[in-house]
Amino acid sequence: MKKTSRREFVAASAGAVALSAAIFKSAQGWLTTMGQYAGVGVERTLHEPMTPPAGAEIDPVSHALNRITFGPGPGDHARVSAMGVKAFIEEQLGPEKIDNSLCDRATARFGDLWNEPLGEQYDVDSEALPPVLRQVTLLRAIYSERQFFEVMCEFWSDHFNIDPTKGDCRWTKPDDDAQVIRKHALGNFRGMLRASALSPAMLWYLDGRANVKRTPEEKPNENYARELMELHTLGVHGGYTQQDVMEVARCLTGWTVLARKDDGFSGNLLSPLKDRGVAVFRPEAHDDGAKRVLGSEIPAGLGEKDLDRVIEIVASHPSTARFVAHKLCARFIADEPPAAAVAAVAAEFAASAGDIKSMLRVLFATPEFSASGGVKFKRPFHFVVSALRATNASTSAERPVLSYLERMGHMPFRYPTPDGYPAAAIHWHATLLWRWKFALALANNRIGGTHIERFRLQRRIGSDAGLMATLLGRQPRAEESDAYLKSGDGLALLLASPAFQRC
Amino acid sequence: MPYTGNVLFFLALHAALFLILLGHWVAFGGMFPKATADFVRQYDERPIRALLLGSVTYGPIFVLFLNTAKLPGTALRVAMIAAGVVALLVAFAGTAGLALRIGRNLSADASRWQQGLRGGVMLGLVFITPFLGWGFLLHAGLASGFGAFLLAKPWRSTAADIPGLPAPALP
Repeated sequence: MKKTSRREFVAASAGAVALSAAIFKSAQGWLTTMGQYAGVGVERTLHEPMTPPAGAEIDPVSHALNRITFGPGPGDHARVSAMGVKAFIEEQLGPEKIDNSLCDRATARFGDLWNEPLGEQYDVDSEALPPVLRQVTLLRAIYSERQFFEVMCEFWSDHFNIDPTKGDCRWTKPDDDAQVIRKHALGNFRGMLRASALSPAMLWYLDGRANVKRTPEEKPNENYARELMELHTLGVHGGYTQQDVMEVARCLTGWTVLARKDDGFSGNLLSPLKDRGVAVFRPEAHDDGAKRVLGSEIPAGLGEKDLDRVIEIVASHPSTARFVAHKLCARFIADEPPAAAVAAVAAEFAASAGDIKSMLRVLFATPEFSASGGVKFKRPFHFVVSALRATNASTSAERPVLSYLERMGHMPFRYPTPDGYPAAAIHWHATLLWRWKFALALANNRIGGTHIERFRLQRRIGSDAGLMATLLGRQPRAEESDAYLKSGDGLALLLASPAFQRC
Repeated sequence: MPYTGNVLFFLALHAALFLILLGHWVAFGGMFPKATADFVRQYDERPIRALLLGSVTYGPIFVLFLNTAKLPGTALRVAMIAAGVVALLVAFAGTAGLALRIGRNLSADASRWQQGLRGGVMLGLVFITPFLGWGFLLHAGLASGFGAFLLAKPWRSTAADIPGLPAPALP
């Protein structure tokens, strides 16, 4: 061996160490990404600038972020300020163009839930799927950059509520979530209504699968027909009669779900595993006579086309436009929405034949929307997600977080009746104590699987006042600053404060 | 991911890395015996220089390769991926000399492929040592292999086989 000089040895050692360090640093990003696929270290990246809101009152940017997202994270205000509120709304109305890789990684490990054929979900333990659906829904609400899409998914999940504990819904609800709610959330109301009517989960939940007329004596099951008009379209005061309910029920006879075992409704259509849970039409169980729905004649002999006629009639009814517009305005403007805004949105519903994006554009352009900053009371799900987003939390969204939602009475997909979780504030005042407990636990990292880097966040934002403004969407008032600084646990206090409960 | 899954994942990762390295070293030693002999000679004569040269040549290429996603332009990214893969293969080739050197010193009487295999097993185990191995020794080893390759200049080599290696005995 040739003699090695000391200088050469030191240089070679330093080079090797530097190389290892550089490779380690480079690999860190890869390791983080791999960890996120496993549900570890999922956290939104903080981007500069993180300038907090400067106004004394909630400005249009904070208002938009509060209403059309599940709450701003650090830096969101600066980003939306730079692009403008209108551009932000347009961006959010085109979710497919928004990079959502963090959320995709956070939920990738649950991919089988949606990628497998519906029938194969029956292989999974009956109690396994609903909790996973809840976890994925929470992860999406927290980490998705397609925030408005997720907000609308929550809205429509309540509108077309299905309790997954009923019958086969525990297996078929995830498919309903993917094929009805998420597929049509920003699409066309009529399309979503039809998809919902034929959703195996809905056919189970509201007994559509049991709506058969095989003999002249058999009476159709009216359950779905009633909810279709009362909750999904016209509204309870929408002008339909009991006769209309019975006629719609007749129209929908024969639609059923391929069952795991002979349930008396799917006839001899038992099928291989992969087809189980699929919606099918049984002509022999359909009432093919003439019907009259809401004054419109449906001729005899249309068979399964009766469904399309019914959807067309109820979806194009003026009461449906008003009912859906009212619900949207109640969600995005106020619990008791101004009549002018409802009328404008309803008119757009009629003009666009139920195009959801068009309605929302009109809604966000109303002066009533602009003037409604800070008047809505967050529902528990919104509150929890907004707190996690505001603190840039890293969470696996598992049982410890979900249990807070359960105690606040707002566990996703656990509302037993078809009207879905209520929107109005009055229904949510009774569980405020659990919000405060959640705020305290989050601020002190006492929620399993959830972690916040409180001091790093404070350092990145720059000051206590900046952190407060980021959370509140405006500069803190004197009494808020005072309480924050003197309380000993300012962050918890701020998250539990009345101002943070509103949006 | 469940705990057992994590354990199995890391076990599989280590096993895969070990087998990939071993496979390359034995295969390269068999395909290019003279070049491998040249690399052994570099490790015999100037291992530190090989490490130094590798650190300043292979190092930047590989670090850029790991950060390909951050580079601007598709063409540059493709070029960087190609350069990274080539650098990695060259480093594998160079470290085949290190593996053979270890094997030669462990069992001077064994046949050439056995020396390569035994040296490769030992070197592979060193490289997959948790933290120290895959955090430092692996990168230093691959860099030195790249350096040994450059020093040996196998593309214009006229080297004879490794001195002192006995020819396999005829039956």
